[in-house]
Amino acid sequence: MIRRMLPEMYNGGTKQTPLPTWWKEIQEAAWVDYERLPMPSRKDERWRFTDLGKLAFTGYTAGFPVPEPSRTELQAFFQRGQAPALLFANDSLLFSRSLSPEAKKKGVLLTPLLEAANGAADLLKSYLFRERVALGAEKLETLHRACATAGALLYVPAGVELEQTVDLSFWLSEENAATFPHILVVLQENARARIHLRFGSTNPKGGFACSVQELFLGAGAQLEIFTGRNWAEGTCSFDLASVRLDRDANSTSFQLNRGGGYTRTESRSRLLGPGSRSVMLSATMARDRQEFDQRSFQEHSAPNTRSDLLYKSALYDSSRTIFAGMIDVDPGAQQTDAYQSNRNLLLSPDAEANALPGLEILANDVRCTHGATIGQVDPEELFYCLQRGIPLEAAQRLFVLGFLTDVIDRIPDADAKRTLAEEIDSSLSQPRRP
Amino acid sequence: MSLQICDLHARIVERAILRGISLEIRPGETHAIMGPNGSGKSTLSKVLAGHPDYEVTQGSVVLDGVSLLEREPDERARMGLFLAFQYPCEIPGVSIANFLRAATQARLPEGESLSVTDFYQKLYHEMDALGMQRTFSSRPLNSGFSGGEKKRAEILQMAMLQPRYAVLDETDSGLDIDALKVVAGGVNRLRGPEAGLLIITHYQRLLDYISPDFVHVMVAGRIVQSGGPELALELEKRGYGFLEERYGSSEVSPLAGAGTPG
Ligand SMILES: Nc1ncnc2c1ncn2[C@@H]1O[C@H](COP(=O)(O)OP(=O)(O)OP(=O)(O)O)[C@@H](O)[C@H]1O
Ligand SMILES: [Mg+2]
Repeated sequence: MIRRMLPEMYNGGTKQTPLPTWWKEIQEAAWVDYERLPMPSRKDERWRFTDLGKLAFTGYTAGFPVPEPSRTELQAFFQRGQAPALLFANDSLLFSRSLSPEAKKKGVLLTPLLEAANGAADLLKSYLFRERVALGAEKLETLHRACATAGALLYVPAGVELEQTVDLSFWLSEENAATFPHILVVLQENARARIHLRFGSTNPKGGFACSVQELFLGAGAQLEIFTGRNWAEGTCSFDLASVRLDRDANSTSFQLNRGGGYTRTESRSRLLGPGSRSVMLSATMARDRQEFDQRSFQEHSAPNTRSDLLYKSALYDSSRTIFAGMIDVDPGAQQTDAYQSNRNLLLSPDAEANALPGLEILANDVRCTHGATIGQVDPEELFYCLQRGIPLEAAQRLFVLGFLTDVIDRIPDADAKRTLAEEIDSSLSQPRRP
Repeated sequence: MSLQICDLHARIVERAILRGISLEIRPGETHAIMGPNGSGKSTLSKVLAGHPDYEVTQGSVVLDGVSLLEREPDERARMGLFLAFQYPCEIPGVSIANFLRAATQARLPEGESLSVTDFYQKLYHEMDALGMQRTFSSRPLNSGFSGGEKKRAEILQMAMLQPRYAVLDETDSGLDIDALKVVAGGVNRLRGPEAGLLIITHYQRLLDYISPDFVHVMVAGRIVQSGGPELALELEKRGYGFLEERYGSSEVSPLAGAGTPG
């Protein structure tokens, strides 16, 4: 099992702030639950198709010190950015850049959780660890609660629009290191924010990550969150996200997935207020023996809510993807508009895509569609590209880019769209080294 | 130096379609191939380009001294062979510009990268010449293009890639009169001592604008008659009936569906 490092212990050379009692109590209770909860099992529908052999929970240590070369590499990465940012490696905070003075003056807060435990204790206490994603990985969610200390709180007061994108990144530097990032976002009424979240490794191989995102959107609030995952080969990771939307709130999430060994994402959109809307997008490029296991839940609890999910995966080599989605419409959620679409492009005969779209509708006046496709490159299209002198590998890259275009086009912000398109393009150009 | 096709036989799913084609195209020459529907013209173009569905059972193709048939389709293209498809397929999500960038990049020596400014300058220049709006370059290749737009896009690609030998398969079909002139203009700009052209067409109309040096008639997988431009005029008047009667016996005609080799 995961060796538990208490945050009082030395962590990368700097002594961390001790946890307040209420937090410690949460950890203790979570640890008890974690040991009690069963391991994921094939018998559980929510683990259907998962290659459980790829799940590795043993031999990792949280709070591993970050060695100098990784520190330098991350510093160089960090210095390329300009946005307000927090960078963690192996759960210690390495670098930070603060918000603009204007944003601070308006009351926006961007702070590491451990600092918030002192400076904004009441705020933290009323939101932290409140949500449960619970799409199968309860044991992992509990483990996260027992171990998480690294992470960020972003708080935007009512009516404030945070213009700068917030960069949060979490890294692993060792094969046997574990990380438990926590992202807590609280947007008050009509507040707006945009977050760029990144997960990656400085080591070439292995690691364990279990992150949780709790996103609270007040009435009329708007959030855009981009998550880029690019863990080292063989990393076992879980990212469990829940977004709660009050009346007329609006959330767009985009995930760009590559790298890793086994990657599970659980994404829950909770449309709790009338008129709220959630767009859930994902683009995955799976290679080698990577497995991406994506589970989603579109929870329509109020009338006039809209959700729109589009997950696309391109699969190379012997990679695997799993998509299992559910749209749930409560009896009271009339005039719901819900879409769910999962599309897979197989570039290799050894790749395997599994799709399980799902609906459960208890209201009568709704518009819901869902569907999944698994396709291959059309041989005539391939011949056409080859005839123009484009080699097979470059042609496949064009097809993947073409295939992913419509997900990228759904991103509202032009800058973010361009950055993502470039990121996808460059990761396709250098297939072996991310 | 030439594209030399020698006694080429090819079949698809056990059915012989090409039954001994011999033809040599030298740089600077323009050849036209005419012939009834189903006689094997498109098959010839695809066999040259290396389409995997067709099996060559006999014969050879040599491009500037290098044997072509063992090469992959993309290698053949980089050696200078271009095919304007009769039915260009759609490449969803890939813009004309990105597609052509990939094709241009593929022709550069290893390690060298494309100058984006030069590329766009050339692209816009060729688009202007073909009367295409520049915004067209960001549209996904052939997706939702009209028939005529697809044909123009084929010529644009040819103009950008500057092939040594180009096979144009019914590039004139589906074009209105003005588009025909524009496309013919594009083809004529490629013509010169460096380029050899093989134009497959059903209509004399195109040949009014692109006057060929040689005209060949294909019937039932063979070239049954060759001549100068006057042959095209004669065919326009008389049709293929008289040639089919003579060369396309029902026993061997692919049109009759009984063309087994032997
Ligand atoms: N994939 C295929 N499967 C079976 N038969 C084929 C296939 N491709 C071509 N053929 C057959 O080969 C013959 C020659 O076809 P081809 O397309 O080369 O004719 P063409 O001369 O280009 O005709 P057109 O003038 O109508 O374009 C036809 O009888 C056609 O049905
Ligand atoms: Mg044809």
